[in-house]
Amino acid sequence: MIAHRSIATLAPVLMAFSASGSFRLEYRYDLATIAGAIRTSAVTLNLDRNTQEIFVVGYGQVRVFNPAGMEVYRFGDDTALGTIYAVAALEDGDLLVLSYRDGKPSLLRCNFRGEVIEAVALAGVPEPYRGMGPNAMVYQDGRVYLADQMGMRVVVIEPSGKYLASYDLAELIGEAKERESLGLNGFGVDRDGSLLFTVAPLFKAFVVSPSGEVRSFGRPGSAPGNFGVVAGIGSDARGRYYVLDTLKCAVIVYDRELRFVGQFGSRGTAPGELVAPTSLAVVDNRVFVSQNGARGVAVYQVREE
Amino acid sequence: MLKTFLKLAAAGVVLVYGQAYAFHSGGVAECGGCHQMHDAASSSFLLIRADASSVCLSCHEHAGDTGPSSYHISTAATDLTPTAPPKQRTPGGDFAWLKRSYSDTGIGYNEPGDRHGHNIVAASSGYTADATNVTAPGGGAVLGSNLGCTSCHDQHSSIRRFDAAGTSWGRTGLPIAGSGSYDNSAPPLAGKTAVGTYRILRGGGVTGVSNDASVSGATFSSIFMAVAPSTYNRKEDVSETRVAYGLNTGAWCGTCHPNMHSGAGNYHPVDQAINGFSANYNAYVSSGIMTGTGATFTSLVPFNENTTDFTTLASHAKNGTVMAGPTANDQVSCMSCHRGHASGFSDMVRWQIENEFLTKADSLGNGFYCATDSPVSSGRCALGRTTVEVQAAYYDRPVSKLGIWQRSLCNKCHAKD
Repeated sequence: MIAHRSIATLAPVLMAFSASGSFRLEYRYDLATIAGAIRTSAVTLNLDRNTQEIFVVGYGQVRVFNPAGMEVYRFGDDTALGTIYAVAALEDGDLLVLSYRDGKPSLLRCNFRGEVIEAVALAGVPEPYRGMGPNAMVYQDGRVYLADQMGMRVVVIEPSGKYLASYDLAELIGEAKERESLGLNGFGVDRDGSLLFTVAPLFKAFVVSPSGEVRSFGRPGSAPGNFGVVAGIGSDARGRYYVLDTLKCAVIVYDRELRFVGQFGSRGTAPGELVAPTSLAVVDNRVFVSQNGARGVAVYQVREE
Repeated sequence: MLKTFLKLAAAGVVLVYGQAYAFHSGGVAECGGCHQMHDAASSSFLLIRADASSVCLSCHEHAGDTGPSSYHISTAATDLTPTAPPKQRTPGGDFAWLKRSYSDTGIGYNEPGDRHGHNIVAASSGYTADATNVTAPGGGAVLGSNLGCTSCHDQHSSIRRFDAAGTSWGRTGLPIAGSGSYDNSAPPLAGKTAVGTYRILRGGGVTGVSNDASVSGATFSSIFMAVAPSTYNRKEDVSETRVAYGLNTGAWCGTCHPNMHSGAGNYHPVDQAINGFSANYNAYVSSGIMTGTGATFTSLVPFNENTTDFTTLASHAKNGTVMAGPTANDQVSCMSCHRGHASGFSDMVRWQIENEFLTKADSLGNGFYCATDSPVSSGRCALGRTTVEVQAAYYDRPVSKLGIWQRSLCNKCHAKD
């Protein structure tokens, strides 16, 4: 049986509260293999904006899905690369793989098959970023963003490993003393190079411009637009911010001016409903949502009247 | 509620108590964090997720952690691989050890994961009921199928402590201003504020605090008195993490495991004074090395202190700096050997108890953990574990922290090695 669902028969709008009325998310399908929808839990999602392929990272391996949502390749399951945390696709088709072995991080340049070409050595990274433990990575416009979510630090390098910039996010949001108690639950990069991240204990999402200007949004509460436990974060070409809420099982959308746009989703196992979503990726008009409870990855389409 | 810095002005001195950001803040948390008033996911208590423990793990488990991370007490399944053992290092232990099974077919050894801890039921995170114990071992009546985080922790905790001495408690009377769990928690303000009980654990049995019946069927008639260091989820490769346990913590465990605490069977003493064994503890460095001079505390064998004074406990809950061992009046208890959540070893013990050696050494005296990939054969003591896994179970301690040819840490008190 083909797991892809008919868009015509199964395209429910996520249970929505839309502040603008003209914006909504429609469920389209789950990422799948020919054997059916994948049943992963809490995997990390990375995008290749050039090919619109999506990398599903978790359980020590990388699974590659084409724009139609079908798995086309996987690598890393032989543990030769260590424990993989993130993948970034470069313009030339090579991949950067962030992995750990024996507790130590490494950045590997691989070919499109996931075969190692070389280890990337970081050069010029200042203290205290030199010893940080990155667990998230985004590639955009020649810049590799390595985020240490537990340490709340980000280093930006060239694909060659040359240091470009660094950000102490805890310091920037005035919470350096509470660094160990906070951490980032979600991390992303806007198209203009702004850093996006969520901090669950603060019930907030943050936008930090390349120059270090900080904006934040969100407050605790169950009303539409308020946050429970914030997780993944991303943005679209229109500058809208998409924030996952693990507890509310919802995607909460704000516009570029940080005005609430809408809240989409509710908990459940029916098509389009969510179970404890954790990670999110946005490409063009599609929103990919990784869930817990062996619910795999659901794909939604942005609809605007 | 969230930014829990409490500033106390007294005698012209401003004391600032830094404290972890606390969703719970020592008592009941924000309602909307766990319940949804309209269109809840679960018909049970309008919970946001299918079961209570899954709600807890929404915050206390985070995929993508590369190491110990603040208040996370479970490694997400997606982060567990054959080469990546559980990552959290809280004193209670990482529940993900429940998903780690070991075997050695050569000696017919099989150690299923559910032996490693309390088998909470949390559907969203893949935790299922204990496959072996239908009810709590030790004569308990609590069903394994009902076991969850809220069996022990009270998500709506109303237990409050009114004084630093730990002598005045209640369920009402003064507002809970914050957590009472940490060495840097602000103490209660006399007549104005209270603090929460340790880890919002269930309790009862003291004046003003009625016995607490959890949804899993256990009725708690004692209070678990302890203080944790503010940084408690950490590797112990360099220094020890010291939770200061107060008197009689074993009685609390005995709620569900009554015969292990005071039953008629032949059980190791619990909540009993260490007496002369304290001399062994303080002298014991490692197997055969009894040259310690009292600064030999290890979190692999903690003990109850002979006090319920929270000022004293807080002064002892210091990582790596307070290293004094027990006095004769301090107590051995459940926590001396077991972790509260889970461990990397059978029966949620803090060290390997399935054979005589924890470590071995080569012909030159270079030590290594008993593991399948050790440089020389570990013989039967590896029990299906790699060095990475064993070291993770010992909270990243190098072999040198234990010593070579180290035998069971029962000997920390008994010194038979």
